[in-house]
Amino acid sequence: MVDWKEGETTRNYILRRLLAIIPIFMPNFWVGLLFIWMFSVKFNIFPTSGMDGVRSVILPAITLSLTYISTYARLIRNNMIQNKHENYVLYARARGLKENTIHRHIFVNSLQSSLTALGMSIPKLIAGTVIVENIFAWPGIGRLCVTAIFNRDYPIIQAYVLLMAVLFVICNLLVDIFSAVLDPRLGQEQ
Amino acid sequence: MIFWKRLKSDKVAVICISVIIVVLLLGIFAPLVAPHNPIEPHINVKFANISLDYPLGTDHLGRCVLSRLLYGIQTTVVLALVTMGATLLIGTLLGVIAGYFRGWIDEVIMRFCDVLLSFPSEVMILAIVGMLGPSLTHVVIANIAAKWAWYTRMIRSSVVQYMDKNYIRFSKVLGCNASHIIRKHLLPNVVSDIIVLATLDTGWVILNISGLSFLGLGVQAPTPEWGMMLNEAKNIMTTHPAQMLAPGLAILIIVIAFNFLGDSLRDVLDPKYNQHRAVAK
Amino acid sequence: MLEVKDAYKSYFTYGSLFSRKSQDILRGVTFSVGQGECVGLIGESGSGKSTLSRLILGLEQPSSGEIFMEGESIIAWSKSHRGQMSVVFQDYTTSINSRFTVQEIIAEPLSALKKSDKLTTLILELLDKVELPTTLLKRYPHELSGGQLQRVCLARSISTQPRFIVFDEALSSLDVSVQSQILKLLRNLKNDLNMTYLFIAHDLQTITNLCDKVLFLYQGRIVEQLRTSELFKAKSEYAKNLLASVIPFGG
Repeated sequence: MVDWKEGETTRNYILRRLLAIIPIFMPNFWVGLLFIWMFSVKFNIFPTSGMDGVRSVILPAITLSLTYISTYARLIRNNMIQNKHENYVLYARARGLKENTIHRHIFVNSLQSSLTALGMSIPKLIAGTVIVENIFAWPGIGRLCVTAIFNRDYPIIQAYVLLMAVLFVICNLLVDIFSAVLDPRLGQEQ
Repeated sequence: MIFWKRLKSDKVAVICISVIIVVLLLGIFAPLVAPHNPIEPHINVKFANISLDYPLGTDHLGRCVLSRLLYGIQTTVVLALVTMGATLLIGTLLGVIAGYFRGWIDEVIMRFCDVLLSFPSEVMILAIVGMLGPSLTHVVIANIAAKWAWYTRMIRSSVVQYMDKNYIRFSKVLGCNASHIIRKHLLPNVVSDIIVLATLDTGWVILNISGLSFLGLGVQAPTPEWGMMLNEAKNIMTTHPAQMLAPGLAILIIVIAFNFLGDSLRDVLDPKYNQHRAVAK
Repeated sequence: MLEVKDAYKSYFTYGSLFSRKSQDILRGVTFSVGQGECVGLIGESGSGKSTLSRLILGLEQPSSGEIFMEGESIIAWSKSHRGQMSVVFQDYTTSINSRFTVQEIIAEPLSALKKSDKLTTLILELLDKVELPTTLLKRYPHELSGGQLQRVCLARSISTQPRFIVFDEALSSLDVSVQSQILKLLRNLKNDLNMTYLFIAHDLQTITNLCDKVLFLYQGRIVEQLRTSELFKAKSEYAKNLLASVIPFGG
């Protein structure tokens, strides 16, 4: 976890912020292209496109998740900084708990809001698949939708939108249930 | 004012504002600055290397990459700002109406927003573009349609919060009319709340427009656009990979500039956050 | 001048998703305030003082009952008599738009009601009345102390020469020394401008110092109305207890 380093200079701070933030704002269509060029064209490790076997899943998966990896790292880090100043941490220290145990407590408590954020980023992920499927030429529904738009095939577009809406609702429901399990306070009527 | 003084002392903010202003100026004066015509193909000079004549080389049709980048600003960045502006305008108008007058009009506006918000905005954009057909105007319309509900709700909740402040109660007791209260008290406060979100969001709108153009759903060839240029670069990746660099970097820089600016604005506008940073430093 | 007739106010509190309970804050409040009178309203926190003040100021409607000002309903009256009713709130930090300078704050009611001739001299006069130095004119609220801010609020509220002012615990957030200073100021203003005050507080001393009449509000009802000079005649349990805690009787 990248915690706040105390006493660092402004320039280092900006640089570190840049490093943390670039993966979030790299347009994923660009990241995908750079990955294909690097790992498929240059080093020929992974296939450029199509879907055959595990090896062709790796690049698209990394492309799609890159943004979220750094988003959540940032989110959890912010939460951990906040949690560090809570009273329960002070109390745990006073009781003489091991630093490792305390860190585990802080970490679990920091996960809560990322779980909610996960529910919110599902639609973004869905939109992301449209682009990634197009770059890696996957025969997925995202690509189907784009082809349908070009062909003015309205029923397919409608079906896609409906499916996504249903998926969105189900995902949110799952996240709600899961956060209720993780945080007992949420399950109770107030 | 204090606000500007604090913003000026924030180096990151100053850099970001300069980057954005320079990019916008370059875009607006592209016809004067650009060395070549961005659309006219010159097959005999295709894939030219970097030279004085072509500072960033040429693409597969022999068009100057730099000129296309510069003209691309007009489409991508300027349109993103137009989108944001229109969204903010609609959001502020409806949000202030709902939050100030409350009652049935508030209910109507908010329930309508609820319906729109229960639907993921990314899918909504795709649906609207899908129904209207691929074109740049439709992308802009879709972006506005997908975003205004969210802004209306944010602005309304901000308005409701300020309506509870005693200085607005005082003006009401005194018998000031609605337009005075909205102009003098509500708008300045609400706008400064919302400007942070809008700045952060502008980056996403740029990504959205160029992403859809990359798919071919936005800008239609031969209009220069950054996402579009990446799409063209995709087809010739194996032979000329360097073509992917310029447009991708351009998008990255402008999006990061907007985001850093948003973060800095939040620091400047929120005294509590400032303290936290001071302590952490 | 002001007449409150059998005012009820209840709020809904949402229990769970489908049930909602209503909670009565005011249960039949009746009293009147005469022209030029200074009336104190006293009650513990939660007794409905602030709700009552919001009703009187026309910011909220009573659930039932009526409030009249010079024979008209309060809403109609405040529309036809702009700037004649004013208020000073307890919390001076939110009483002031932090984007305005002191000058703008005091000028706001005047310019909003388009009485803007001789604005600067008027503002200087007002500052003088509340005993603030003119050097503060260009300052922002966060550069002022609490007592100064509350005096700015006071200057703002008397700027339109209102005939009726509500002080909603306007002094309880201030230091005792500042309180007494402002009390003196209010007494002078009352004599100079012939204003009608409604003074809301939770401690008796400030009220007895300034008011002619005291109303005791307890659990949403007026339990007792007394002239300040006849406080010892209190009959209700609440008023007796309150008085006993402040002034030792029968000693």
